[in-house]
Amino acid sequence: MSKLEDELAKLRRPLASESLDVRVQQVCSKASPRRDIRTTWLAVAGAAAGLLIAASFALRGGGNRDGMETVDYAAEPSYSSTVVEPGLAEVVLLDRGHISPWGVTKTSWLVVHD
Amino acid sequence: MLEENWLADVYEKNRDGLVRCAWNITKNQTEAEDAVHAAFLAMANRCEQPVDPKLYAYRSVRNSALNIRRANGRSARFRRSLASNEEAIDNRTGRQNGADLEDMLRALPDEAREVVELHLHSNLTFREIGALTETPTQTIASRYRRAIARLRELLGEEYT
Repeated sequence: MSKLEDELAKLRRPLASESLDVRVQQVCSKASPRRDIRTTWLAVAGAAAGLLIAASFALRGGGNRDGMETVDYAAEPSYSSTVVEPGLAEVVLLDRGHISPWGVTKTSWLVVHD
Repeated sequence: MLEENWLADVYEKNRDGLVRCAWNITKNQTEAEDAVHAAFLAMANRCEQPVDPKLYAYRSVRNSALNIRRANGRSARFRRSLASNEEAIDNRTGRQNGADLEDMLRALPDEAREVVELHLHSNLTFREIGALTETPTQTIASRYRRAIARLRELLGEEYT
């Protein structure tokens, strides 16, 4: 370091005061517990949201809405499983159910030819 | 280092440098300390430890100090005082006590003065200053060299 740099480095500059030390120490001491509480609340909220989504998913029959994807042709061999033209078929609700892979009974709809 | 201690640890190791970094901008000790306090409050709300806590703390303090200066509307007054210092230096070149050094330092362009002060008073490396100000390290180094050369020029033979 040159003489000039040495002189510049000696210029009077403020130091951190004791009051600042106290203020920052208070911040630091409060930071951890607050973070822990927040993390805990986030975890609880996340778990609750996950349970709600899972319950909603199960109650809807494993994600199928209004029987649109639950046509169960195999259960009734007398009905054709051929894809029908719009207007040439009627939709019949069979009052029965079966167990889905998620363990929930879901309603089956059948598409029946005229 | 345990995660919950990083904030206290970074303050303990850099407290004076951080206050000086803020003071370079506010030129007022109370405001400089307020800037440090505000920065640590903001950092305390951060969920995880930053990659480089020291640099993160300096950056937070610097931004906080800039916000305070902006909020106080001091920027214009500060520039006016620099201009008057520049005039004073023209009349006093050759005097070499601490007050003159201080005046001449203040007369440097903001960017050059900040590099000199962060390097000599906050003990940051050129790389750290570059990261702090988002400027290439080479640019910081050349700003520093030019600033020192300019000060030598102003101060005369004793420092050449």
